[in-house]
Amino acid sequence: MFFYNKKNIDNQYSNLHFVNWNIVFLLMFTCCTFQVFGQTEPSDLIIDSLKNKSEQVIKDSVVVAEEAVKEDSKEEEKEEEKPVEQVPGEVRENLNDALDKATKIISPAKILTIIIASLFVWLTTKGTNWMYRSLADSFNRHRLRILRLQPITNVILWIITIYVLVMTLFNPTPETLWALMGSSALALGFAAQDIVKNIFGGLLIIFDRPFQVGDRIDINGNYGEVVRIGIRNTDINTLDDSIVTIPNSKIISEHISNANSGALDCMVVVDLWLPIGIDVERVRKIAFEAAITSRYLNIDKAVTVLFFDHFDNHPATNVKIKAYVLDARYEKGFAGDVTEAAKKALSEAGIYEAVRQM
Amino acid sequence: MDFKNIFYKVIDFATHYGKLSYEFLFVDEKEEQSTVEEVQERAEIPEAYLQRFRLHPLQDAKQLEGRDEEIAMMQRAYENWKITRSPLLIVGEFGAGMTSLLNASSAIYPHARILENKVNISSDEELVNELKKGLDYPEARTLKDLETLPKHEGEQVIIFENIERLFLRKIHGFHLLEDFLLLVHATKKDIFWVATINQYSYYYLNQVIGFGANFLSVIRLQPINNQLIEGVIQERNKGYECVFLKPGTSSGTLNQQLKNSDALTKQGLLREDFFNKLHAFAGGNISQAMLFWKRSVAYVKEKRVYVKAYEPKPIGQLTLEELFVLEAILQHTSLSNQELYAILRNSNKGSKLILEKLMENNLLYAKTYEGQFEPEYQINLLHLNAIKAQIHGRLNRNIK
Repeated sequence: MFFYNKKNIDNQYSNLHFVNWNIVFLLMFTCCTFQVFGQTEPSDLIIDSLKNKSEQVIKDSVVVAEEAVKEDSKEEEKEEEKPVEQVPGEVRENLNDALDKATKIISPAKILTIIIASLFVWLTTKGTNWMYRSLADSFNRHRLRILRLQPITNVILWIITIYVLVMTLFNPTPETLWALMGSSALALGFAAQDIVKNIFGGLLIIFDRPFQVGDRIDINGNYGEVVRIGIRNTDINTLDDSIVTIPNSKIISEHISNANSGALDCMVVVDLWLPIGIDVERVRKIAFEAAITSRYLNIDKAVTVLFFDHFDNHPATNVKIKAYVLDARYEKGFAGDVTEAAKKALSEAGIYEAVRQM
Repeated sequence: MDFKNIFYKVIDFATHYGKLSYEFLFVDEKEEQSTVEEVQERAEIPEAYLQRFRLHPLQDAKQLEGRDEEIAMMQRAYENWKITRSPLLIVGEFGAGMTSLLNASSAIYPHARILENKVNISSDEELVNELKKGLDYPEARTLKDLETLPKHEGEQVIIFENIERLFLRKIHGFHLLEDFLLLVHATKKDIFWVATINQYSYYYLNQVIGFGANFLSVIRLQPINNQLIEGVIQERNKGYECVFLKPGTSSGTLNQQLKNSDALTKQGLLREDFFNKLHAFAGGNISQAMLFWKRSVAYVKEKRVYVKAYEPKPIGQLTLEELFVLEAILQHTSLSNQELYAILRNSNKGSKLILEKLMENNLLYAKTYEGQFEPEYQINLLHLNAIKAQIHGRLNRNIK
């Protein structure tokens, strides 16, 4: 009997505990929701009232438990088997009240609005990206200027959308916003720090502009044209036509080599390795003419030919032809064209033969 | 600007860019057609009439119009040469009337000899043969011989036309030009050298080898005044009455104005619209203006010329290879397939295929000169503006 009663009491207590913790969790959830999404009343008052209500609920629960113990002892005495089934009316009211408020803040209509608006903005960003690419194709000369607007537009579109959604659907007070930012920072700090790092990296890249879309950069041995700067990642199209996706957090902590820095053209250095003892004057003329006759040359910039002798394992003369290509996209085309033409002309001029006979 | 004008501007924009039919919106097309003179029968254009607009250099200085300033500059350059002994370079656009100007310069250089180079010169022998004719020194065998030519009585003026014919954009393709420039410098004390070059070759050579530094005096041919061009066209139409037809595509403003005008005013409006289009196309280039007129003549009947503004077809987006070919031809005035192959360093067949494609699209035309087996390919002046625009926009060349 004792055990039975004890068990009965435990059950009652456990039931009460279950009810209480559920209510507490629900209240906490409501509280957080209010904190996150705001409400028309000042949040502190609501939080205070919720605290009062939860304290009241706990007090009520304690009173109920005590009464239950008393009644249990009476039942023991009177050997009555009837269990107590008292749920205070205030608890139910509070629960309903909290649920009502929560559903008012996060209604299915609002969720649907958020989804539709996000979808619309996503499609808009795709549309603007397509528009920028088409414009860049049509106005090749201003390609880089056009493309650099692309990530900025996307970020601005998303910021405006989020702002408009929050302000129209939830209309939070400044206090709520601060609370939201504080709690978000805490949560993100622990749970999603990598994502946050990438996002901040993306914003840094977009606004600080160490490189832009269309630039040819080298990060950690990945060399190619920047084709997209996203909020989280940056895509680079390498010379073998692979897309390398690099997290923005990595990019901001690495050394970046930028070949054209927003300009359409870029310098290309063509290396020719020739035997020591070549006729420098003839080689210079051939190397220079190989560069100035290339279809890919940017003729508005100077061409330089330099000679460096190397005396390592295999002594050789390194001829460096420095010239600007008309569009950074053709850098390899230019290098190949110049190398091929120069080697052919050097061979025809008997430069290699002359060295062999020395 | 009043509301009415803004409204018409918006409609113009919509009809032009939105492919919206203006007639569909406001004007009955049948009614519009009755506002301009229409002739049902289409007669052929007589050859005699077309001959009037044939492109050929003028021989007489009196016929040359709109080049007074250039003639004066040539005169000044000659006076300067007497002190500085520096040669003169004349830079001009294709069809800008460079040869006509040189012919007209006989008034200021009565003893000048003009060496006209229609095809590319590729060897020392060819250059020596060309020069010894001009310098009247048949014994010369090398350029060195020409440098030491016996002193001529009086001052000599040699006009070397199309100096760009002396180079080919390839390795070892500049030596003839360099040798010629050395000859010019060696003989400039006794000879006033006048060289001409097209503006694309000048731009290229100037950038890569500093060609312009060899000439103290450089004259750039300016576009001819619009009124002068109209005057030349009127002059060539002497004896014919011009009737301007409604153009294929016209602005909403023009349509509205035509609707509310009498026949005489309509002709005035259509004439004005026609010449606006002609000047926009030609940009002061007399040859392009003549071509535009010829293309615009719809038919000729009983001393009446019916003119409908020519509308050039868009050439479409050219491939990179095609643009490189066109650029190379612009830089050399004309090129044979062999020369093009040497310049582009691609296969012989490859360059021939591109040339054929460009010929099909009417962007190039082939011309075979006397004593030549292979045709030379030249840019069709009708599409010169469109080609230049693509080279400027897609190859990032600073040519306009």
